[in-house]
Amino acid sequence: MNNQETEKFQRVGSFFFLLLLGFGVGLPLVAALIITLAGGSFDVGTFLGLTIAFVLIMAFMLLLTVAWGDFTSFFVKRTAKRIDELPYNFNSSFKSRGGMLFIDVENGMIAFISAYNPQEIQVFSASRIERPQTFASAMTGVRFVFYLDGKKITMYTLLSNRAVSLKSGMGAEAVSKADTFVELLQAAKSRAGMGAK
Amino acid sequence: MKGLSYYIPAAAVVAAAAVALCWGAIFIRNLIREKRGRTACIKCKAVGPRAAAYPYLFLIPVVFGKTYGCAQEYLRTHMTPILSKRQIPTGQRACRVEIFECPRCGARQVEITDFLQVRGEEYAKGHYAFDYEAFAPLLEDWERMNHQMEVR
Repeated sequence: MNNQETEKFQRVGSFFFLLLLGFGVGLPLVAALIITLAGGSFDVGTFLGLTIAFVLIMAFMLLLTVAWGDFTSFFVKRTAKRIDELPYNFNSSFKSRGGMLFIDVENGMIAFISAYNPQEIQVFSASRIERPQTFASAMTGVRFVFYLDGKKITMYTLLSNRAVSLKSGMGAEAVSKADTFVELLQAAKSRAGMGAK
Repeated sequence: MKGLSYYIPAAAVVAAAAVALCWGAIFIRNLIREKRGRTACIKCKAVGPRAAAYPYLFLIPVVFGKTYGCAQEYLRTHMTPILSKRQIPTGQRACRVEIFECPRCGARQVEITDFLQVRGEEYAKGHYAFDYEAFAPLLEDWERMNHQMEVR
C-alpha cells in the first residue's frame, strides 16, 4: 500500500451527517423561528408546531433527494475537480447515484468519491477490487457492481421508472457501458497484480 | 348543405393515413432490398446487387451513443481498418462497409453501417450511402492489410 492509498473504504462520512442535520433540523428550526418572530412575539407553541411541521416536510424531501443521489451531487463534482492533483492518470471516469469512480488502468489504481462521503477522494490499488460484474435487467435497470474491502459498490448505467428492453438502443448502450467499465476494472486489477510482483 | 370546412378533419385523417401507408411501403421495400443484399443507386435510383463478396470492417473513435458531425467527412478521415469483429473493443463503435455497383449507370457506391457491438450483437447507429471514390483509399488499405494477414 503506498502513502496515497486510503487505508479503509468509508462509504459514509461525518460531513454527510452534518449536512443531513443542517438541512433536516437546522433549516426547519431557523425557518420556524423567523416565522414565529415575524408575528411580533415569540410563542413557544407556534414555534414548536412549525418546527415539527417543517422537520417532517424536510425529512420527506431529504429522503427523496438522498435516495436519488442528488443530495450531495454538487459536493461530489466539486471534490472531483481535485482529482488532477493526484499523481495518477485517471483516464476513465463514471458518475452514478452512488458516487463517482475513476480508473487508472496503467498504474492499476482507482479513486472513488462516495455520494455519502463527498468531501473525500478515496484512492485504492485495484488489487483490492473483487468480483466486478454486470447485472442487466429490463425491470431493475443495468448496473456494474464490484466489492471494495468487502463492501459492495453499485454503479447504475441505466435506471428508469419503466421497463426498458435490453434489446433497445438505450438498453444495449447501457449494457455496453457497464461491460466496458467491468473490463477496465479487471484490467486495472490485473495491472495492479503485475505491479505487486 | 354542409360547407367544405365540415370535411377538413376527415380529409386531414385520410391524408395522414395515405402518407403513413406510403412511408410504410417504402420502408418495407427498403428492408426487403437490404435483406436480399441489394440497394438503390444514389445517382439513378436503380436497384443493384452487392459488388464485393465480403463486408469491410473499420473502427471509429466514437463510443457508445456519441454522435459526430458531417458523416461522410468524419468517417472518411477517422475509420481505421480491422479484419474481424473480435478486434472491436467493448464500447467502441465500428463500421461495416459494403460496395454496390449500379447495373444501369455503372456507378459504384459504398453503404456504411455504423454500429455498436454489444455482446456479439450489432446495434445500428447510422446507415449511409456515399460515392465509392471518396472511400476507395480506405478500402485499398483494408485489402492491403487483409493480404498481409493471408501471406503470414
